[in-house]
Amino acid sequence: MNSEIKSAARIEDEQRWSDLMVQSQLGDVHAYNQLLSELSVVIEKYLRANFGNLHNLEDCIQESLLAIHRARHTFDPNRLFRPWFFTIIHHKTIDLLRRADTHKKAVAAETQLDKAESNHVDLDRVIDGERLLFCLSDEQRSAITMTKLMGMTTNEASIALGVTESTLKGRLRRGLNKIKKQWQANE
Amino acid sequence: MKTSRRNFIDNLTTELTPVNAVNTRVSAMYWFASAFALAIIIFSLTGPFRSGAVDSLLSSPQFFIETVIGLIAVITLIYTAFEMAIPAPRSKIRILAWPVLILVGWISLYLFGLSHPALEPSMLGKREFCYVETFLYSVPALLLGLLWVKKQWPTEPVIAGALVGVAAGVVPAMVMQFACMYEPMHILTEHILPGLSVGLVGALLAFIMLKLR
Repeated sequence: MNSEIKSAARIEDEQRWSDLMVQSQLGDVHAYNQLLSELSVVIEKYLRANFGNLHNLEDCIQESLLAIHRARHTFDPNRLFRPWFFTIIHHKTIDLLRRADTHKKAVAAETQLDKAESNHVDLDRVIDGERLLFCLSDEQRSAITMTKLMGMTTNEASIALGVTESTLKGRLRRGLNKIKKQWQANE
Repeated sequence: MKTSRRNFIDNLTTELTPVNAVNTRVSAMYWFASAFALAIIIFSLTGPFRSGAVDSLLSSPQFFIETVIGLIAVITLIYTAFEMAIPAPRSKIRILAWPVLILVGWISLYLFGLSHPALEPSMLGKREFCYVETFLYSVPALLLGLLWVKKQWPTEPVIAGALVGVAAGVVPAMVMQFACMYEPMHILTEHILPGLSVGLVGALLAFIMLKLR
């Protein structure tokens, strides 16, 4: 039932974003504003899931929005919007991952500090969740982020990552097992 | 939503100008026509075409097939290069399979021609520096293709650049079929090889031009 709702929402988003982008290509300011506003929320979710408590999260979101702005003429209305959108975000993410490597230690220290300063249970959960994702390999993290957090199907995610669906499922299974073990060890 | 992001989106929206959605097929056909037109003009200005070369298309089915497969190879190469400049999830192996297969098929025809040439091998129409000409005459088409790719959003710029390079190199290599001597070994080493090497130049230029996007 839950997956059916997710699937319906996905189709609805796909159609709406596609229509908004077509109107944007024609110069409709309101449609474009609405589209970018909606996409920025999706990008934020994606970046948070991938990088956790990034100190330059807002810059990264704006950089991704700028990439979409510059690439808006490459969207073909006869093709699906989500694969186009996620390809841009995925490639931007790779760039960010490279940069994030150098900041990883700083981010980890910041996260520790945040945790020490706050006793808020929800915040701790969020940080723990992000840490659990960091214990995964890049491949496993991408698989889990795309399917469990972004709501993509395994087929869509496998196409986006350029691997077969069975490979993706394997990464997903190994990643989830790793998270489970890590979670149990923490408890 | 944070105020800075709201402002950023508002700024992007204010700058909005209407754009034409790209059509890869149409672009590929424009490039194809322009590349051959440019090559034919340059070849015409730099020397004569081999006498009877066009007639050979009708008299030798093998020569006709070599030419047609070559044309198809150019179209698939440039179409694939332009497709790679459009953001979309894709398997590199799957998208490269067709252009590479057709290109290999085209080259194989000349390898077959070593033992069974399409036309009687001769020195008729030989150009002294055909290997240099093939390389140099591909430059306009190469730059044209790379500029087009640069205007899009290539996810694999180096591969796209290499494909544009090979396509641009194959164009003069094909025109050489009509402008230079016909002998399969000569074609393979003096026309096709320099043409394919433009792929390396394309990849290198793409690396420099498109990585700075």
